Amino acid sequence: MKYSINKYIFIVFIGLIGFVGYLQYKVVENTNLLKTQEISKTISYAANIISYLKTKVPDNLQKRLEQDPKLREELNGILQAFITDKYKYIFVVEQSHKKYFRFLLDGSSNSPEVYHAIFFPKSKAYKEVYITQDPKIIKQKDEVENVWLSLLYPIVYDGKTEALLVIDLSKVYGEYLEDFNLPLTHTIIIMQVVLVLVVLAFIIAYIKYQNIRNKLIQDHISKAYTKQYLVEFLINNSIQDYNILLLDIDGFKVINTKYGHEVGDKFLKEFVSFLYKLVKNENHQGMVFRQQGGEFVILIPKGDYQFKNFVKFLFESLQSKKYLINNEIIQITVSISALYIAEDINNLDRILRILDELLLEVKSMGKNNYKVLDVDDSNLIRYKDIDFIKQLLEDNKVQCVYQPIYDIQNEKISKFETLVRLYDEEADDYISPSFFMDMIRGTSQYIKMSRLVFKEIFETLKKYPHIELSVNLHLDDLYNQEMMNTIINHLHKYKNDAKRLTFEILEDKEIQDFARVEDIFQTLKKYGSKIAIDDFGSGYSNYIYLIKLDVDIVKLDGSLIQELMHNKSDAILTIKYMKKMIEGLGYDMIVEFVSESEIYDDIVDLGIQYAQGYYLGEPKLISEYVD
Amino acid sequence: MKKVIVIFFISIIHLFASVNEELVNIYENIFSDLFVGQSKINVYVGDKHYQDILYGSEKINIVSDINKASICIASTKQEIEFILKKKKDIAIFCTTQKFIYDYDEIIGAFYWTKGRQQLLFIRSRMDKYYMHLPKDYDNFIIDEL
Repeated sequence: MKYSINKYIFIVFIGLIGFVGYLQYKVVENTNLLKTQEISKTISYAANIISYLKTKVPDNLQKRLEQDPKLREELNGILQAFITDKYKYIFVVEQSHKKYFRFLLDGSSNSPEVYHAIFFPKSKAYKEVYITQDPKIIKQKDEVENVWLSLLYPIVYDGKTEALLVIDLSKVYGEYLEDFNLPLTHTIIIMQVVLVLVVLAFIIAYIKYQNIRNKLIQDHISKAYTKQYLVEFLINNSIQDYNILLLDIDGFKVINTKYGHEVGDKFLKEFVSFLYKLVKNENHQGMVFRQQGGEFVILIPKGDYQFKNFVKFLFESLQSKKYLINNEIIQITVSISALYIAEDINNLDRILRILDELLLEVKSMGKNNYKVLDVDDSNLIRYKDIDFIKQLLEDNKVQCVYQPIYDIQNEKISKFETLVRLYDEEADDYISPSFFMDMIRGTSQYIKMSRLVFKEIFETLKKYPHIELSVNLHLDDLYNQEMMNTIINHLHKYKNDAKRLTFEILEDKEIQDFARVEDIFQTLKKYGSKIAIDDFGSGYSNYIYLIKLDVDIVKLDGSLIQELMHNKSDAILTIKYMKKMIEGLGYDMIVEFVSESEIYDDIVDLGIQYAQGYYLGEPKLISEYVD
Repeated sequence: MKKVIVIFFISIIHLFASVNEELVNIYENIFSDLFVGQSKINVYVGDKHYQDILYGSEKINIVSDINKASICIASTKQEIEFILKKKKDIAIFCTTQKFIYDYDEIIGAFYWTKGRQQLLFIRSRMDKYYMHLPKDYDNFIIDEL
């Protein structure tokens, strides 16, 4: 909008300048036309005078004038009659000598020149007209007083020039014509002055605007562009033409804290300068935008290069660069998330959210690394897009799949763990909760999804009365009244089936209020449901739970089971003692991640009763197992 | 306002001064070329107006005694008559063309015709006074009337 207003102002200005130029041109043209018309009139006037003279003197003009003073007097009187305010002098001269002319007739009433008085014309035109017999106009200069133009008109008898009729147009009349359009000329001059002043004012305003704008679009410390400019830049340019990176200097805050902000700023400037060398060169015309602190967004135009390779090159170059800070050479590391922008992604906020998510993943894995979502990862990119996930939830694309938990000793399926997926119709694929669960937890979408999941679980239990199911429940869900109401309502509604449901409790933080959790467990157990501790042996899931909480089942953390592939003897020993302890406390024990036959054999040898994993059965629709 | 009026009058004076200066230059040049070698030429000027104009000239010395003059400047018939009465055969330079046909003592004139400056010398009359002009003046010299 702002851009188009500027464009219109510019067009109006150009229009005004053009209009004023046109006016000036027309005024000059009009003045010249007036003069031309006046010259034409004068030529016609001269022709009339000569025509009249010729009626009076049909031949031998010079001779008859010489012989007849009365005729001279009469003709002088006639010329005098032709003199007006416009015509200052009208006289007739003959060329009596190559150097000079002589007056034959003079129409001046005041001190007329005597017959044959000598006249030295300064212009060569007199002689030329005499020879060529073509009338000529001479523009007089200041040295000829009170005369603007002189018309030299040959008086020809029988093809021979006998004399010249000279008509002097008065200077006053010339000035009158010149000044005829003066008011308009003055108006135009005023318009021009005003326009020039306005243009000057605009130029000054534009320069000031540019100064302010530069301060706004360029970070004064690092000299990188600001995020504001990124937004503005992508209004006028398509983000589809670029690949994008989010770069964070690992531990940037430490530099400021350790060396002070002044040194930190100096470092930042050097860092960005080096970054520019890497992204803006003959191969790439990249742009760097500072988000905050040590975080930068980089746009790289798409081109004939491997994006992943470029990110790798950038990462390694920044990693190997050395900086001299306070006489100390330091090396910094960076974390980078990078995204190949696919055609269906054009929203900057969405892109930055995806990059943030990705960068978080890099940082959570110990920083000093990079992660690229390239063109091949288009599904991953979409799954990290909250808007895409929200839309799937809006469209009720929630799908439950079930993974069997085997009773190894009795060689039958003991129950199924319910796992939630979102169905991506476009890719005909199920989206794992790892992509969206953290994004939606705590939102209304999460509650909505949970309702759908519980609805399906109980309908499945009702439909298949001989099966048991388990479902994951996050510790936070227990504290969420809305979520608990949903669960209790379903348990109440399907109370006959509730005893075939196990709640697997997941934690990402330590339980502080055991009494409250135990109270909730008892509420669930009131309906006959069982409680399982999930991922036991990792994170916050520790032994105190086994003492303080009344649970039914303990699921060993998958990482312990996977160690059977790497540190077999230690893993066997650990699992063996954990089994002894858990079963000693009277809980059932389930092992997860049984993905290989080797693991299966080990757990069989260990006497484990319940197990689940891809080796035993992948998550599938319940119908595929039961029907 | 006062300042504007003062500037206006100064401009007018300056304008007239320029015209007069030009006239003085013309007369100085003519007489210097006519009387080569004389640092200051004695000139009798009959016309009061021309006296005022030429008064400040460095090359023209205005004399009141016609007998001491090398040449006279005259504008009217009376002045010409007066000069010739005082001294016969003195060269006269006229400010008009009108009288050159009547008096052989007029060797030339500088005047305005139809707003145009005109300079005219008559060779036969100049010869009478042993006066000569450089070639630059050829275009303004006629042999005789």
